[in-house]
Amino acid sequence: MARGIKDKVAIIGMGCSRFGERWNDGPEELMIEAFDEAIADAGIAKDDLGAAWLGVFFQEQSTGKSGLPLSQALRLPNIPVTRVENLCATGTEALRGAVYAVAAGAVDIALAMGVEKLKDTGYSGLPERTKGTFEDLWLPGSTAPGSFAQLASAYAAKHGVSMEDLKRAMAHVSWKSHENGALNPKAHLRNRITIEKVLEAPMISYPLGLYDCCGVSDGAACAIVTTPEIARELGKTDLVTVKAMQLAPSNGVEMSHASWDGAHAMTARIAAKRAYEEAGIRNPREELDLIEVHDCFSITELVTMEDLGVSGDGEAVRDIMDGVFDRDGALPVQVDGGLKCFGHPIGATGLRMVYEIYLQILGRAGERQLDNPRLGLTHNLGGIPNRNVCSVSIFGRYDA
Amino acid sequence: MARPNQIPIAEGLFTWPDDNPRLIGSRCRACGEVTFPHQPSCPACCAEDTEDYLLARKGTLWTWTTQGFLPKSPPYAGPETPETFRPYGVGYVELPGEVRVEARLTESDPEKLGIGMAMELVVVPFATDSQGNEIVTFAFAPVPKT
Repeated sequence: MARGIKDKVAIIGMGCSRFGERWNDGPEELMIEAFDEAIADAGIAKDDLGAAWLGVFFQEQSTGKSGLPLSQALRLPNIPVTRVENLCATGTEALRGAVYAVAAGAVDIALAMGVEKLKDTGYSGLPERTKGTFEDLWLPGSTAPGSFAQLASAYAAKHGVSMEDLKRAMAHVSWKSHENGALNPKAHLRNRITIEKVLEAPMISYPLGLYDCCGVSDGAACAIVTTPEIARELGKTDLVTVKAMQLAPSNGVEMSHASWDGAHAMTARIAAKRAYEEAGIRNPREELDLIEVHDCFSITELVTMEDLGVSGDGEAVRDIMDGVFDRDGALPVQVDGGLKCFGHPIGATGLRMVYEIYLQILGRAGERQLDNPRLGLTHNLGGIPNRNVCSVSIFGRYDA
Repeated sequence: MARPNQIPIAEGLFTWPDDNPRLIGSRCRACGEVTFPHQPSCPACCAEDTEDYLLARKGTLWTWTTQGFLPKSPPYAGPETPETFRPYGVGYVELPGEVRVEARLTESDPEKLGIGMAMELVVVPFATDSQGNEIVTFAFAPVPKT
């Protein structure tokens, strides 16, 4: 019986490029920017890497297919490079490949890189440019905002929340991300906003307004992983280890049947339950010190608080309005600004979240540093609420 | 009522021309699973034995939104420009005991849409092709209260 990934793999170096509109840089420059930081942090040489994983979502538009873009950008010593893609969980999937390889004992040290370059490709963001098949013709013309807006409608109806109260809680979510993003020198959006500005913004897909939607950015993030034993041999004393990495893809049931109420993500609940079991967490609200969720839209963050079990069903609105998830609250969420303000270069996003957990645990998060966090969770929701790939991962101090 | 020069957006999606159009789904002969659109194999039991199945014309609104901006093209195939675009309703309609269908809604006013309201299938204009044919697609309309 497998015992899970807990504490089998340590992160010894991480890097993250500045996110944003990087018109003058290609995916190569973004990857190099992230890698230079990570390898200096790890204190190893390029030749010490045994294998690498590259996460890219829009390979057609930007970075290219295969593992070659990473191998060539870094002139890696002909080590195996595997390119992965799993919607918005792509960066986390790159890390899972590297972590599993180290845990298997197949390599000593592995690299996980995620990158996305959207801004000068003529097509900045979702939905994906598709091939013009039958399916595209009859789809009803819904979009990413349209799909997540339907989550908001269903949530309000299920829990009897007035749209006014839900809008105000969603506005608090976006306000919080801007407050946090303003403290992050690598964030795409660093401006503060007011609740009123969010509420008065143009409607994108009812009830989601402009500030309920995250940014679309260029960027790269990466991690270097090894075993705790090798990490110690390399002189590392404060170890950050992987506690859990879980992935739950939809199987179509939510699309078809009355088995789902439309007000949550089924996959997130499944992935979270497995991740808590793998990490040995019984009470996530008490035991976790910070969370990075996939706030593609403000409603996604709100609903995810319940899916992760840190808010009771129907209680996320109250917790948000009470400031529980603010930077100075009991359980900070999106301390780095989240997708909303740090940005959302799709392939890099999962690794960017891990980067924040890593910095926070090591006490390196600068102005936004929390007080001695030990355990953090990352969450990606790729796709739409009823057809998605959901990852939940947990990282912490080795002794946590 | 169907008119000349009207063609459906895709073959095999709904009965047309038809005064009371029905969506064409499929039902698994082995386990009874209903899908839309038609699928030659069953996602529930993997049997490769399905039959055409005409879906109910009426259901209830399960969730909804209004699409407030012109979607990117491709994949969007609608004829609007940013100047002519008007927000349209999108939602899922639950067809009792069958399947949920995501569709255009003929209503886009948030004040007039609500989860659980009765909806009925209609066929509506979508675009005009290069030969002057009117492309029609399926949508759901609120059933007037009697």
